[in-house]
Amino acid sequence: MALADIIECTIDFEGQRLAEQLTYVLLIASGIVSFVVGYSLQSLQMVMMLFAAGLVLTALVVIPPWPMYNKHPQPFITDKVVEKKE
Amino acid sequence: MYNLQQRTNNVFSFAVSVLGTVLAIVALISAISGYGSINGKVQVHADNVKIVTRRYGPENTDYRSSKSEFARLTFDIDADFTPMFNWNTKQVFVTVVAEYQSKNFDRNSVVIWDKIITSKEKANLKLRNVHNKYAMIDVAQKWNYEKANLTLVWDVTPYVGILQAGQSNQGSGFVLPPFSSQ
Repeated sequence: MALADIIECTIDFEGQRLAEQLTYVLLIASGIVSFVVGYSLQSLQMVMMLFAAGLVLTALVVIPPWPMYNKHPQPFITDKVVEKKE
Repeated sequence: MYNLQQRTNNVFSFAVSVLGTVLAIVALISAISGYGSINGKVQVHADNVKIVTRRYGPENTDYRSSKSEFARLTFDIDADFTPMFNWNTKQVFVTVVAEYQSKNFDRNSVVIWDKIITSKEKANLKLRNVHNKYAMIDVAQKWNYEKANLTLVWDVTPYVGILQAGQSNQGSGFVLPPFSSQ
């Protein structure tokens, strides 16, 4: 793999859509949960800590290139097919 | 979202937006519900008002002169600020203000004492024989039997949101005589 591939850890398009939806769902959910729990406990510190925990969870789920994001690789035409045509 | 950097950027930027929305809701709740009012009392020892002369302002380096009149007074404070501490209270800033009317000006307000309360445990104030922290001097640099009132004023600093203030209506009065009459 080229250096760029190692650093970038790309995922395919279906995986990108899944990752984007997961970030929105997980972050909004952790926002709501942290607000509700903090309001019932009357503690702003709880709000911030729960939201930080939710953020760490989201980062762990979305950012690394898990295999579930690479289930639909993009089919590109190979060199051999083009050469045979000529 | 096709590489690490883009996903990281997306996650953290949306997280900041969500956090901002949550904190904006907290601030809105505090702005609408307010912090309430308390029955604070400040009682001045009206017979214990001393007028002294010191140097003031331009004559600060003229060690022979001491002709500006300062008032020194003591008072008691009874105020329980515990109801003002909710989840969004960072500190309560309490001041004692002396207000009086003089010959040349209708409204004079002098802050003579203040205190910062940072937690609910320290919010119940029962202080006796408090001296004024800050100098009480008139613009004319002399007193002339003005009638003054002490009021208790508070400002609440939230963690997120607008500052809210209030004051107690009960004020106790005293008279400020000239130095020559003491």
